[in-house]
Amino acid sequence: MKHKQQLKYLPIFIGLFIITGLLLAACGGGQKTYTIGVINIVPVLDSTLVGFKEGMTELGYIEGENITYVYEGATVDMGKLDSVAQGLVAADVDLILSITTPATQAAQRATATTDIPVVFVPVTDPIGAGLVDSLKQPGGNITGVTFGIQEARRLEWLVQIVPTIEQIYIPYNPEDQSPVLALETLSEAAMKLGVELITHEVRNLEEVMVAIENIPEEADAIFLLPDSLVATRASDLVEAATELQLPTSGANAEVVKAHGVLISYAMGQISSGKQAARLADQIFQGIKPADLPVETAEFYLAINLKTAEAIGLDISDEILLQADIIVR
Amino acid sequence: MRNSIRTRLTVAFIGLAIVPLLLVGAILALQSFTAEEQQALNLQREVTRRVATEVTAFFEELENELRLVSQMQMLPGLDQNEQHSILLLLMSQDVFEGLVLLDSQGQKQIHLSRLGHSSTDRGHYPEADEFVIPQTSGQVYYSPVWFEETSGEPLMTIAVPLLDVRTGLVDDILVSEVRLKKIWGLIADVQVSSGQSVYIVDSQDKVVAHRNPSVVLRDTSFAVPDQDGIQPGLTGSSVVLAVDTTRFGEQEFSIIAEQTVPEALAPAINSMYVIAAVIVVALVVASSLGFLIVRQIIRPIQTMATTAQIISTGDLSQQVEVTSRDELGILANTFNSMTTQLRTLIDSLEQRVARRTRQIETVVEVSQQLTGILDLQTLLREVVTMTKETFGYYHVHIYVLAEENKTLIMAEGYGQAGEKMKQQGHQIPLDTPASLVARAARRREIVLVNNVRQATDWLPNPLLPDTYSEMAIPIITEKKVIGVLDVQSDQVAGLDEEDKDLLRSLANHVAVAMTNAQLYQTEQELRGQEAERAQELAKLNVELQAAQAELLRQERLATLGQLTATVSHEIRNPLATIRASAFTLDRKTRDKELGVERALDRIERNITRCDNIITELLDYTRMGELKLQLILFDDWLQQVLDEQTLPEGVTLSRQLKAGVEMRLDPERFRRVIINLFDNAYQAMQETLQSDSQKQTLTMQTKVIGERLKVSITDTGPGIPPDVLPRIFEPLYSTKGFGVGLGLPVVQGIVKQHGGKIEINSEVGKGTQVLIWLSLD
Repeated sequence: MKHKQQLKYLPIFIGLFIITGLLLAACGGGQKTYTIGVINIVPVLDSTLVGFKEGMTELGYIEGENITYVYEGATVDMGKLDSVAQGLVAADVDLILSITTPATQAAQRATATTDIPVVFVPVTDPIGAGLVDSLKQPGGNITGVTFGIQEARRLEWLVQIVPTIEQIYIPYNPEDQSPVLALETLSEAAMKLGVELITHEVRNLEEVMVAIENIPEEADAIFLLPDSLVATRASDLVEAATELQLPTSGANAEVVKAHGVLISYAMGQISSGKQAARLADQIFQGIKPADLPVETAEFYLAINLKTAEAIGLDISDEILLQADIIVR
Repeated sequence: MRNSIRTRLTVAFIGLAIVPLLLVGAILALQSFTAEEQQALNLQREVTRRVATEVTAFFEELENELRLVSQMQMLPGLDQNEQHSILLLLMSQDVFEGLVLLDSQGQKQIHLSRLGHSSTDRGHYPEADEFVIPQTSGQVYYSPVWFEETSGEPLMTIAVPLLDVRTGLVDDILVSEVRLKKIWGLIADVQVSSGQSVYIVDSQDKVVAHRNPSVVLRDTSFAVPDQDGIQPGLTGSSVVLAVDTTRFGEQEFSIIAEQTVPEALAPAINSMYVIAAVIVVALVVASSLGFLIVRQIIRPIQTMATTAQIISTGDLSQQVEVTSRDELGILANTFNSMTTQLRTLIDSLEQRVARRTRQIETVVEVSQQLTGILDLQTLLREVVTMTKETFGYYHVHIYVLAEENKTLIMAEGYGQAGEKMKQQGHQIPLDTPASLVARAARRREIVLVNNVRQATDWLPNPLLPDTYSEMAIPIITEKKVIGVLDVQSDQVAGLDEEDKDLLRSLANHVAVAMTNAQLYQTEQELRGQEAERAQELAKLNVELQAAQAELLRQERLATLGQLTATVSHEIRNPLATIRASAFTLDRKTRDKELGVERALDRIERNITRCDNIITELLDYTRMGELKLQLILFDDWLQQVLDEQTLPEGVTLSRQLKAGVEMRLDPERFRRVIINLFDNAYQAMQETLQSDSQKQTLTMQTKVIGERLKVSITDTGPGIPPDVLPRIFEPLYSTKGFGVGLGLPVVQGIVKQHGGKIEINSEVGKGTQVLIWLSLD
């Protein structure tokens, strides 16, 4: 009898347990997963994505667990940029990471009617490229990492390492904002330093190849602007330059490390990728891209000693001491 | 019910258990919260102190570097190319946005910029603070923080005066534009907890360094609070915030570490949750326990209350279910026991009432039955029987007070003991002191002794060995004791007040019944006497009538005798003359054939007949004294029969087997036989005329017992039933002749001999005459 009476309260206790369980489950909550679409046109800049992923991992976004990247490799064919960007939009990604200015512009066009945020890295002049209103207040759905126009300083470094330089060969795509802007600064610096720039416009890969095959004899060095088109043939260019015993200056450290460009003074792609990751994180945390100031990437001096040796160039210890990256 | 025990208990329970629980919980939570808050604040302080140290170190290092590079290298004394090289080395630090070497006049000697292109000239140096202050004071100058236009990054100008070692005067001034972005790295390297952030605010309240560069780039301002604690943080939300300051020249930096309250106080909040959870669980458990306990307490009480209400309506069969062994269980048990007792009491009362009613009914019934009995003895017997058997006493007997000698006579008692006592004529004198019965009669009140063995005035009765208690009830009518009803029980205290009432009532009825019976008896006795007298009177009357009749008959017979004697004498004389004349005629006419013979025969025959009538008459009237002789009856009868002449066709059968001597008057009795013989002969002669069959007259004698039976049986036509009763009447005759005195004479003679005559006859078969004579 008494046992029976106790059993009567069993449902009450069970009910309490269930309620407690439900509350705990509600508190635990499910972790949101994100999808990031990546659009890039320069294979060498994939290291930016590597940096981005590292940054995201540090911030707690583990690929395969709570974040997925949609990236089918660099879209070398510029004509396909828009469709790739639209594809990402169609895939309803949470954020688009655009690498390079044309890629960002394609993303901008594709997301014009959506609220998918876009984080670019790097874009030389996001204001000039019409991506943001200002660096402090981007205003739209786009923010990212830019870098100061350091081409003057890069030229100084080149001249400092190879003081004999008088004429520099510069193939570039006049249809890309970045090299055009860089060239302006560079021209000013060249004047100060007393060097002459031999520019060669290229608009497609064929023209790039032509430019590589036709390096002028008077050129004392080859200067690569932040030009995604030219960057795609960086290896060929370096090969050609090495043959001609010409020093080369690249627009980023990756070309020094990967393609044997002699020096670069440019933003680090890994670090800028991490910067972009921080921005993406903030966007995921609810801050609108419009309120996220465009960050500026840091510059690093990179020197490839192998290449230096290959072209018979001796680089002083004084300079090497200042280098951030040395490829030995 | 607002004032129900349940409500009060619940309130008490909440007051005693839950309120302290809540209070303790609140105090614990508050203490925990305060401790955690302090700890969180300490944590922020520690961070700010660490960052402050690092920032200070950063600036000191920078300053030292600038001094070292310039002074150790004797920068002012070198040529411009050498100066340029040294400054380039410095630039490789990447911490400087630009380096400007000014001469003592404030003229720019060398200008290096991080990105190569000519940096912004920030003014006319000879008048700018970065020149004037170091130049005049010889002290390092720290400018307010300013922001680079394009990148929006914070910069700070640090101007170091380069002194001539020999003169001690300011030679050159090295103006450096320091990128505070490098401090971001310092802050970024600080290990922070979740929700924590560290930033540096300059004198203009601008955030110059933050873990998140966006904050700085966004041109964020923050008014540094005066004291640490919980307050609105950088984002406006409530944070635990600590501030440390560090000064560089005129510039003061506030290093702020903050952590959002939910994160900072997470342990506190967690412990509060834990406490809250514990309290909630405790509350639930306490409430459940309380509920159960209250329920356990209340339920039996409610049940008891309900049961009590039901009981109050009269249903005493209700019992409270006993579910516990505590005080409530005891209470319930007691309650049940009380109810049971009450029920038993009521039941016993009801039983007593019922019994009493039944007894009263029985008394009434008994009384009614008794009232119907009018015979006193029967009444008394019934009283003891009914009292004993109806009420189941051990013994009952009844005494009747005899008025004369003042003695109580045991009139009736139950069973063998009663019978014996009655036979022994058990009685108690009224003044016997050692007698309950006598005392009851004397005092006219019921005497009850619960244990007779202990009573001094008790008379033990060997016939009633098991008597233990006894009650004597006086039977009183009209204030007079008429008897005592004595009831005994074989148990100590086997008789009580109820019996007393019962028996008193019964005794009253018995008194009435006894009175009635006595009255009836008296009346009956009177009636009996009356009837007896009437009977005697009637008998006398009959006797008188008989005597009168006899007298009349005697007179008549005497008259008849006288008349007969006179007539007989007067007629017999002429008859004798006639007979003599007739004889003479016969003798003279005999043989002369005159034809008168038949007439003469007729005369002779009628003379004989007349003579016979006269004889009969004389016989009937002359019933004088018998002349008794002792004769042998059969022989005497043989002789008489031999004398008789049997008519033709009739056979006489003699069966004379008496063989006794009789005292009788032979002459008279001869007349009996002859008369009967004649009657039979005449009857058979009638038969002979119509039937030629032979007739038999049977004569029998036989001794049966003390009597002699004489029977004369003929085979004549029999006597019709209407005639039979009258045959002994005198002068009644069916024959054409005779005077009808034959059979009355026979009857008279037989009677004179103390005998009896009977006639049995059946028409068509014959007649039997029986004479019974006593052998005495």
